[in-house]
Amino acid sequence: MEERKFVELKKEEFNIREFIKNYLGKGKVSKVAIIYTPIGEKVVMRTNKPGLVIGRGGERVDTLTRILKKRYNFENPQIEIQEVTEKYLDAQTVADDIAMSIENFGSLKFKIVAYRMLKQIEDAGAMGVELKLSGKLPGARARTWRFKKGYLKKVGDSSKVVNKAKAVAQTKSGTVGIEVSILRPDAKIHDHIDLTKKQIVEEVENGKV
Amino acid sequence: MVKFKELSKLTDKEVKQKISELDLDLVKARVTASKGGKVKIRELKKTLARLKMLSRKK
Repeated sequence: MEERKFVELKKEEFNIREFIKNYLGKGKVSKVAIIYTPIGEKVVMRTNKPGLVIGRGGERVDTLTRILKKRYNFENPQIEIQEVTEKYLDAQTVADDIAMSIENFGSLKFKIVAYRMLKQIEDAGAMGVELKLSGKLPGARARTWRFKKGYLKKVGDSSKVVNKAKAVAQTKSGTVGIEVSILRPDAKIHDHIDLTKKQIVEEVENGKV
Repeated sequence: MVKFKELSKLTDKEVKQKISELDLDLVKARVTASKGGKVKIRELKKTLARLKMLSRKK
């Protein structure tokens, strides 16, 4: 059956993505895309630390290419690296950052971590942010903490513009789940209308307003 | 809750500073809303509204 092939392919892609993320380490890569081209496979990685991903003289990329060839039977893998310029507007990077901070500072300081991150995301120009931390924070009883600020689309077609990501932190008391939603400043929202002065004058003259 | 008369004595700079302070307080109050209740949120929102009106007037 054809469908089974699709599922297999997607499973394989998922495994490759997870492998690359684990190989490079938490918080290094925000997105991995695999594009199949006639000359080979193109692996596009989005990262905010391209130097760490590439390695000295392209050492890490070479090793990764070799592993991909050997383990996943890629014919000619080409690794492309895209840099994330605005670190705080990329949900996956932020989620990984929070996870690492919670792991380093311990689960007691999660509020400080969250407020600091919220401020930095807001300063980066985001229209809205929401951080959800769920797990045994700060004590033995689990609950969900929600930190939010600004304007965020939740449901419907327009909510597709929201950049969402998840990450997991392993603390002493247990696993903590982190969900991040960011509405970027350049996101196109249907109910947001920009009118120039000329347009307003025209509207008034036509008697529409 | 802070009265409008008291707020109007503040200078431009103080008003801006107070707005940013209360903004953070509002976020914090919303996080702990399930524990602390919503009275604090309401008060903060009203004070913020007064301050914003003042800053617009000035």
